[in-house]
Amino acid sequence: METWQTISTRRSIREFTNEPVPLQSIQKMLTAASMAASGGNMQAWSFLVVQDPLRLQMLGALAPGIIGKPQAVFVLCIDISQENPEKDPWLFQYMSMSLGAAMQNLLLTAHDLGLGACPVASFHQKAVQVLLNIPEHMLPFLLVAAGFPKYKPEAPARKELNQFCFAESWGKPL
Amino acid sequence: MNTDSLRDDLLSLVGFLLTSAQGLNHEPIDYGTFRLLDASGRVLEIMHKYDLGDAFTAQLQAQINEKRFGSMSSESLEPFLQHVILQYAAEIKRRLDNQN
Repeated sequence: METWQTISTRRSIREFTNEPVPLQSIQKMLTAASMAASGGNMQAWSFLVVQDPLRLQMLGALAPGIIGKPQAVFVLCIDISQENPEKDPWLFQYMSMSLGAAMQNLLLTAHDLGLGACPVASFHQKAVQVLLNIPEHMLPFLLVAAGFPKYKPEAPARKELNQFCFAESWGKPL
Repeated sequence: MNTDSLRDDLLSLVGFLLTSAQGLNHEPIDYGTFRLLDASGRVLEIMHKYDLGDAFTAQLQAQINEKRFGSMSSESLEPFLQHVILQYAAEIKRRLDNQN
């Protein structure tokens, strides 16, 4: 799929078929995530994929933001051991922005492969850490629920560019 | 009925309710409405999985699912909730009348 088409036709998918996500697709999505822009090239991230049905069910119980029944959930973690709040209090922001970029690469690649996905921020971080044996220094920060879409939702309304984009000086239209 | 499976499904529902309750302490207020709607859909799903549903619950679930799985929007759920609650009230009244 052409880049612009992928970006402009991606939707958040919350309902999935029972078809499993092929391993090749998982690997490609993870590779795409790993190629995202990363502040200072820190790559202070780790990604964990859950596909086992019972574990997915239990993970869903700890993540109210997962609405349907995805066939795979990606747990995107930030390596907080790389944080140094005294030296650089902004570092966590950089790391979380980088993780957001990785998530977007993952979402776009899923769409490009014919899959659907949805970012999820509503989940209990500590409980997910316990369930999946994630070490203390790896903070589960975002989840991505994925699978083959049951249907394609209509595009939600978006703001017009002139409502929030300016040129040269704040308030001056493009 | 597979009671092990039912136990797992109900346990998952309990987890969903507890994590929702905790998360809603710091999430947008509209999320509360949505979580309860979502929970209703999950209960109906369990009812149907274990053959406890009927035509009315199937139709109710279909309506709820449309809101659960559709695009998030700023549109209020209030008119929809009013509509399905009145449908629900009419149905339980009909069931009550049939019993008497």
